[in-house]
Parts: sequence; structure tokens; C-alpha cells
Amino acid sequence: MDWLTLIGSLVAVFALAGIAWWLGVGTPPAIGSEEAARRHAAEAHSGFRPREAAVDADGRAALVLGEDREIVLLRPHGARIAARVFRGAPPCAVSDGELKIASGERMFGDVTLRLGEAEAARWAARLGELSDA
Amino acid sequence: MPELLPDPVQYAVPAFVVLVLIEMLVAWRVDPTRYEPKDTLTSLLLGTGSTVAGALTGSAVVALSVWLYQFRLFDIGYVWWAWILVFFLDDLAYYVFHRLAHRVRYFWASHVIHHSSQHYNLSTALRQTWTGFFSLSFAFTLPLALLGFPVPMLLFASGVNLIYQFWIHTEAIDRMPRWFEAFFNTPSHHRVHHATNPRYLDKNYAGMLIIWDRMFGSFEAERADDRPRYGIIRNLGSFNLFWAAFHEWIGMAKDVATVPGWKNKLGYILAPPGWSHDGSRDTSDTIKERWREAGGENSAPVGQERPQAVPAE
Ligand SMILES: [Zn+2]
Ligand SMILES: [Zn+2]
Repeated sequence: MDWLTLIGSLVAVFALAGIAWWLGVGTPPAIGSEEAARRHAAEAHSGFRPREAAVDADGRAALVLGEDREIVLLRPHGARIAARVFRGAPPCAVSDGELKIASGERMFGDVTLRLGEAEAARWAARLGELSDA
Repeated sequence: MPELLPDPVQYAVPAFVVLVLIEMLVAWRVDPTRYEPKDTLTSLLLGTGSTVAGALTGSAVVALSVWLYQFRLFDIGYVWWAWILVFFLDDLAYYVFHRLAHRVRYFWASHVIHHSSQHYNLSTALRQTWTGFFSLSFAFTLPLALLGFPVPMLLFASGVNLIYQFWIHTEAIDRMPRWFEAFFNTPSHHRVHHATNPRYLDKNYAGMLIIWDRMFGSFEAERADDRPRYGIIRNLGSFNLFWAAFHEWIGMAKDVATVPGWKNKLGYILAPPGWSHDGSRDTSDTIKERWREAGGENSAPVGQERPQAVPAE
């Protein structure tokens, strides 16, 4: 491998990624409903039995509560959905009708769900019960 | 150093670029979710980095092979049948390597890079490891040098194998003709390999020929009622290039550093990916088990084709 090949490759790489961006392929998915959130969670975690779900107002995230204190956190990653599974409740905080879940991983980041004041408070309490259990 | 044959991969790269572009344009018209700009960029940069890493370590691998070749069992040389035989044996060596790459965490830490995209397109094919040398992936073809296949012939064969595997990373091709699907690795077979659906985990390790999976019981056919979901069990959720390249090595180092006891430490290196000393994590085996308990295997809608029977292991 010489420098010319390497530079040529990098030019091709950025050109292809640039074309993908210009074409507008790969728009982020929205989690449209509680039903969709349950389905995504069950797909992400084999054997998961979802009970209830909190879905962000814009479908940008969801939190799905299952049996046996299992919780699946969903958020878009590019054009796909990435998930994390918790046994017991992850740390969370409420402000301005938003429920903020800490994934505990720096590279995955925190996930914010816009739920509205009442729902956000209800879910925070729900998670609180789970972590005390 | 022996006189080397031309590196087929170098000649193929311009074709790779053109084919990625064509597939991207098809996706744009047919299913725009097949590509994602940041995912494509990460894949292609990982591919570029992989060729740099390969260039840095390549000569050491060649030197080691040549050194072993002097202790060869047979003087095979460049006879015509050796060219045919070497493709079969190199492909078998790839199968063994690839199966271990999924079942031993030390090898997986390197191979996981190839699986770290949630997309399945031609750019995914180029998402190649940076740490293949470190994870000893070259060791698997060394026995062939010891058998007596000339080293340039071996390098050529593994180059062809790598090129072959490019075109199968696509959703644009549904099925190849029946006879082809029976013998060769195809887009359909390899989609199964990249899928995280419990049914598909740890299946179809083939390089060029699917016959090894059929022979050794790791074959699974793609089904219309269980569409592949691509990626890894814990998808990265990040497009960071270096995180993609090193995340599993970092995770492994942390596990080894924090767990007490030598047996546990070794487990975190040599046991299957996801193994944990306290059973708190999922391996592909625990995932499949839960899926079976939930009746996943029999969840095909009425009238759907049953999965093809596989020979017993
Ligand atoms: Zn693999
Ligand atoms: Zn692949």
C-alpha cells in the first residue's frame, strides 16, 4: 500500500458517504406506538414479555417494562433502533415533562423521553418502585 | 521472500466502489433505509483502516508462512490440481477460523467489527477488522503452508475468498438459482449469518462454499417469516470509528481486570462472547434457549415452509 492508494481510497470513501447523505437515504425511524415499542423490545431481547411502554412524543425513544423486572430502552441509531436491556430500573430523572434515562454507558448515552408532566412523573415513580423492590 | 502473485484485492477495490454506488442508488429507489450516510462512512473507514493494518502486518505473516513452508510435508508446487485443492482447503480453513471467531471471545473481539453495523449492504462487506493480526487470524491458513502449498498460492486463494465475500453482502438479491444456493455462500445464506434473530445466531459461517455449514451442522436457511435483523446483540448505538474498532477489546480488558480468580479471567477471554462468571449476561446459547422455551421455533404461520433439516452435528 502506498500513499497514493490510501489517499485515493479516502477520497472514494468520503465521496460515497457524501452521495448517501445527498440522496437523503437512511432517515431515522420513529417508534410510532406502544405496540411498536413492545414489538421492538421483544425483538431486541429474546424471551422478553412486555407489559407496558412509555413512548416519546416524537417517537424518538421508548421504555418498555416487562415481566421479572426486565426493562428495555429503545432509541433510534441512524436508520435503525438500538436497545439496552436492564434487570431492575436504570437511574432516571424528571424535568419539564421529560424522563431522562441513564444507560450507564458513555458511548450509548442518556435517553430522553418527552412524556408530559403527569406521565413523566408516573413513570419515574414506577421506576422508583422497581429499584426499591 | 518468494515472488508474490498479484494481490487480487487491490484490483478489485475500484469495482467495489462502483458496486457500492450502484447498490446505493438502487436502495434510494427501492428501500432508502438500506443505507445510512454515517453508517456507510464508518464501514468504509473501517475498511480503509483494515487495509492499512494489513499492510503493516502483512510482511510478518508472509515471513512466518515462508519459514513454516521449509518444514513442509509435501512438495506440491504449482500443479493444476493444487490450484483447485487450495481453494477448497483455504475455504475450509476460513470456516474453522470464522466459527471460532464467533465462539471464542478473544477472536470475536476482532471479528465483531464486521458485524457491528445494523445495516446489510455492500459497504458492510468492507467493514473489516483492524486487529486481525493481534487475534491471530492468520494462524488458520498456516497448516496449509506446512502441508506444502506455496505461500504465494495461499495468499492468492485467501484474496479471492475475500473478494468473493463482497457481493453477498446485499439485500438487493433475493435468491440465486437452486444449485448455486446448494453449494455456494449467497446473499441469502450470509444475511442469516449477520442476523441477530435467535434462530439465526451462530449460523452459516461459510466463506465461499456453504457445504461446510451443511456438513458440520451450522446451516440455517433464511425464512420469509423471520426476516433478518442485522447487527450484534448489544448494538453499539454509536458511529464512532474507534469505538467500533476496539470496543470489545476494551470490554474484555475491563472484565479480566475486575473479576477475581484466574478461571474467571480466562473465561472472559476464551469462553463464548457474552459469557460471564455470574451468569448475568446473555450468550447466543442462552438467547436461543429462551427463544425455544417461548416456542419461537414453531412460530411459523400456518402454510409456511418448514426450515430445511440440517444434518446432526
Ligand atoms: Zn461472522
Ligand atoms: Zn459478512
